Amino acid sequence: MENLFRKSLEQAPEETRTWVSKSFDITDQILDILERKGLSQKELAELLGKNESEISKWMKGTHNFTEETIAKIELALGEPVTITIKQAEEKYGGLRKKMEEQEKKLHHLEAILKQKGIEPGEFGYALAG
Amino acid sequence: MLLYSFHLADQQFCEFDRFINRFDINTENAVALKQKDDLYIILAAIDEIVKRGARAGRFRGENNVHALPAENCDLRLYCIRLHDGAVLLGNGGIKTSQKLQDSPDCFLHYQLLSELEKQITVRIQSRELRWEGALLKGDLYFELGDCVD
Repeated sequence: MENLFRKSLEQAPEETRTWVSKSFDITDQILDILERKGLSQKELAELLGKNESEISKWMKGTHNFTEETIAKIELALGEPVTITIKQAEEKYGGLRKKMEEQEKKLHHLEAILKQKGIEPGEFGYALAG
Repeated sequence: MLLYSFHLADQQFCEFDRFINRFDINTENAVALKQKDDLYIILAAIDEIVKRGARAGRFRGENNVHALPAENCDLRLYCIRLHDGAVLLGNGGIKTSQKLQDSPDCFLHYQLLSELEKQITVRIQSRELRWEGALLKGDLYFELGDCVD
């Protein structure tokens, strides 16, 4: 079963696999937000003026979402479902900079330990613990 | 993540393989090509479920038998979510009507899976079947009445 499935999947156009994967990303995010906010799919349907069955179909992961639909969902949920690279940079750029600084410090520390003959790996585990 | 399917007594291949074999065909026929496109959407969705797990929020509805994909395709594959880490894949067909009952190519497969799901539930409740991790252990031979010719 696994072999035939994989063999046939390999024939699937990359475009199809990509949009289905994106649809799963979007619906995973929506489901995460619903769970976090304690909202049901029925309540989301009511907020959007849709039937619950339509929302259930969307959540299966093969709905081809339009930007308009995503915008309506984001407004209903009160938070973004997808963000662009630019938005991500604005939101998380500072965090990335901090992580890069921490990484530099870590490399510096590893170099010092190496000079003193201590294996950085061993020390790293100790720090993590 | 485990994918299950099942064999009918008189068939060489499991039902999911029979589904793939039926629609994954090389043809120039426009209708068959549309079905092949639909098949690829279904296979891509299964691949995502394998990667991400079968979260309950994706499998909601009136009963436990679910159709993939849910919309914009004529082709349907029927499946059952057993738990987060296991899905039972059945067979499917071309939905030609609004009501499932009026699509004979689909309805038979839906009925069969629906009946199997009931029996699996009964056996799990009676402990004839049990989960050992993601593996379903016990008597996996079922007699499903007259659903199938």
